[in-house]
Amino acid sequence: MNKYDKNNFHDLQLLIYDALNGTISAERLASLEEILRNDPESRRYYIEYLSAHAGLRNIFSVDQASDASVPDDGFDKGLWHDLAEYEKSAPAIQIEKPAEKPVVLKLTKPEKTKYKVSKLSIYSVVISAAAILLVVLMVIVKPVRPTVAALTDSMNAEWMNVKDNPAPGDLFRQGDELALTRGIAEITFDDGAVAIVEAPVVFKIESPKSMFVTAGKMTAIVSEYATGFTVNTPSASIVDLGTEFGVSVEGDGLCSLHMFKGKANLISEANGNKRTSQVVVEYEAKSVNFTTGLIKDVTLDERGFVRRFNAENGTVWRGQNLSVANILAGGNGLDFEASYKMLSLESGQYSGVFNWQDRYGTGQYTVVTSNPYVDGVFVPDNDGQGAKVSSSGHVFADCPDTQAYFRYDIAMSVKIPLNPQSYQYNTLAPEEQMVRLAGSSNMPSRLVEPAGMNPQLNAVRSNVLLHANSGVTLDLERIRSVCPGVSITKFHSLFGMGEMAPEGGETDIWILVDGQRKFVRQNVRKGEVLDIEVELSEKDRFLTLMVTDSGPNSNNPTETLHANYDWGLFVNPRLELE
Amino acid sequence: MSDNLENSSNMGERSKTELFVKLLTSNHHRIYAFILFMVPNDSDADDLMQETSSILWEKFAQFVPGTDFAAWAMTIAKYRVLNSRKKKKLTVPLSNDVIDLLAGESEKVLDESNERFAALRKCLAKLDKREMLFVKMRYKDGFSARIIGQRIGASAKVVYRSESKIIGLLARCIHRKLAMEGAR
Repeated sequence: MNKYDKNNFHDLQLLIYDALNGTISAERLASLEEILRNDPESRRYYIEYLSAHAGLRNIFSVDQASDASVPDDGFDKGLWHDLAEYEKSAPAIQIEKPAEKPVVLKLTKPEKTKYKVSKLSIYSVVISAAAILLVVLMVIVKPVRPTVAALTDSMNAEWMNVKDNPAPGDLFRQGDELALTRGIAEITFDDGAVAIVEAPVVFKIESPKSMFVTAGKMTAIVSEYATGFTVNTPSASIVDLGTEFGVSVEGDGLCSLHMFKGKANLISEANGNKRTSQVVVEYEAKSVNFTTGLIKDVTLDERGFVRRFNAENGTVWRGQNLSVANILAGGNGLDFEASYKMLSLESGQYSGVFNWQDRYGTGQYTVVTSNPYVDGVFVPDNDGQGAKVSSSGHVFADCPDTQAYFRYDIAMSVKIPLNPQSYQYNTLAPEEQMVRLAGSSNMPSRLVEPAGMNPQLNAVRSNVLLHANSGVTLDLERIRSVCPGVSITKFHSLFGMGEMAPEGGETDIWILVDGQRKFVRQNVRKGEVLDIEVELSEKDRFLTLMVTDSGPNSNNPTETLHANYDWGLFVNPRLELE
Repeated sequence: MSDNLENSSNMGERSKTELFVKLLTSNHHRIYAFILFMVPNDSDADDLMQETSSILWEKFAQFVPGTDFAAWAMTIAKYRVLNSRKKKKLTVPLSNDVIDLLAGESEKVLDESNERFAALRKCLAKLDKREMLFVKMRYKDGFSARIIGQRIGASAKVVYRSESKIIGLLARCIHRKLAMEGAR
C-alpha cells in the first residue's frame, strides 16, 4: 500500500488549498516549497491534486448560472437536515494557532508586496485567536465569481470549452473565458452595455462593465446610461464615452478600433511603454501596435463588424444600407444585388417572365402576399377619390388623373446585352427586347442605367423599372424587423429614363410616405438624372414609389398613350440606416 | 522547418483566427493546468492564462501549423510565469527551482488529460450526496465557503476543509483508476 491508498497528504492538500484560495501565509508557503523540493511523491500528489482542481473547474465552468444555482426554494430540506446533523457531529475545528510570525492574508490580489507587513499590523493580528478566525472567515467569505452578464441572443452559435451550448437567458460569471467558434452572440452586461461577438473570437467576461478580447472581433453598443463600458485587449483599452464601435484583435497583437457612433477613449497599453490615450470620434478608426504601443490612423471598416442581427429571420446587419431592389425582388435588402424578377401590377404575384400586354388599371390596390416587406402594387389614377396606396387605407388625394394605362410589370435588376446594336430588332419594341434578353445568362450583360449616366461594363448596380403608370408600396414597419434597433432614416435613389428607351418619353416621379407626398418631379425627360433623398422617421409606416405619365388624360384608346417610352428607372434605390 | 508546413503568417486573417481559436480552446485545459502547477493560485493562474493567450495570439505568426501547439504554448506560458514572478506580480510565488521541478514533472499528467477527465467524471459519480453538493456549489455556482455554510448550516471553516478534502479524494480516485487501467 503506497501513500495514495490512504490520505497521507492531509497537511499537503490543506497547504495547496490555501494557496489556491490565496490564504496561505508566507511560512506555510515556505513549508509547501520545502515539501515540493524534497519529496518526489508529494510533488506527484501536488500535481495530481491541482490537476483534479483544474478538471473540476473545467467540467463545471461556464455552466449556465440560471441552471446551475441552487434555488433556495428548491433546496433539499432533508439534505439540509442531514448536513446540520453532520455539523453537530463533525470533529471539533482546530483553530490554527498564531504562527511564530504573523499570518498575512489577502482579500484580493492586487498588492504585490503582501509579505511585507508593518509590525503594527502584525501585533494587531496576533492579539487573539478570535481575531485570526475572523480574518480567516473574511477571506473565505470573499464573493466568488458573481454573475455579471447574460447571453441575450445568439444565431447559429457554437461555443468551445463550454459543457452545454449557452442559450439566450443564460448568465455568465465574472472571469468566464469564452470562445465562440461559429455564429454570432449578443451579450448584455449588467451595467447595460451590449457586446456582439462574431466567431471566431476568444474573450473573457471581466466585470459588469468590462470585457477582455484576446482574439477576434466584437461590436460594443453602449447607451448613454451605460457610458464607461471598457473593452480591454492585449494592446489597448477602449473606454466608451457613449457610443457604438467595433474592436478587432488580429494576430501580431494589432488592435483596431472602428468608431461607428459617438466617441471613445483609446488607451495604448503596450509592453512597458508609456501609456498614451486618444479620443476617437465617429467615423474614425485607429490601430494600436502591441509591441510599440503606437496609435495610428486606419481606414474605417464600415462593413466589417456585425452591428445587429435577428436570429428569428436569420438576418445579419453589418452597417450596410438596405437595397430596395433586393427587397422588391423578394430579398431582405441586405444583399445588394437583386435577382431578375417581375412583380405583376394586376395580381401582385412574382414571375420570371416579362409581360408586355397593353392593360388598364381598375383603380384597385393589390396586396402582395408573397413578400412580407412589400405591401402592395397599384396603377395610379384618380377619378376624384384619390388613389389608395396602402393596405391600411392610405389615400393619395393629389394623385394625378392618368390614362391608367400600363404595359410592363415592375421589373427588378433589369439587364441588357453589352452591345445594344446587336439586338434582333423585329416586331418587338427595343425595351421589350432588352428585358427579354436580360434573362439570358450566357450573354454578356450589364444592368440597365438611365440615360445620362456613363455606361459601365458589368457595373454592380441594382435597379427597379417602374414604367408609367405603376406604383408600389413598401412596408417600413416590417422592413425594420430585418435590423431591430436600427433606424431607417432616408430613402435614397437615382432616377432617370432607361437609356435604351426611345426619345420622346416624359414621366412624373412621386415618392409618398403614408399617402403624403414627400417628393415629386414632373416631366422628367430622357437624359435627366435625379438624385432623390426622402427623410424618413420611426413613425413612418409605408413608403410608396410611383411613376405616372405626363400629359392630358383620357381613357380613350384611340388617343396617344402618354405612358409610351416612360421607362422610369430607379438606380441603387436604398433605405439608409443608422 | 518542413517544406510542406505552412507558416501561419501566410494565412488569411479569418482562417488564421479560426485556427488560433480552435488550437487555443482545444489545448486550453492543458495550458491552464500547466500554469496552475507552477502558480498554485486560482487568481494568479487566471491572470497568467489570459496574458499567455494574448501573447500566443500576438506571436501566432511564428507558429507552424501541424506542430505541437500545446508545447509551444507551454514554453511561452513558463516564460510568462517566471516573468510575473520576477516582477512580483504573483500572490503565491514559488521559488524558481521549485517551478522548474514542477514544470519538468508535469508532462505525464498533462499528456493524460483526456484520460484524467474521463476518470474524474467516474470519480465524481462516486461522491456521496453531501460531497457532490459541495462540489457543485463551489465549482458550478461559484459560491464561497461562507455562503455554502449558510445554506447547509455549517461553518465556513468546515466547508473550506471539506472542499480541500474532496479534491484530495478525487485526486486519489483518479490516480487509482489510471493505475488500474495501466495494469490491464
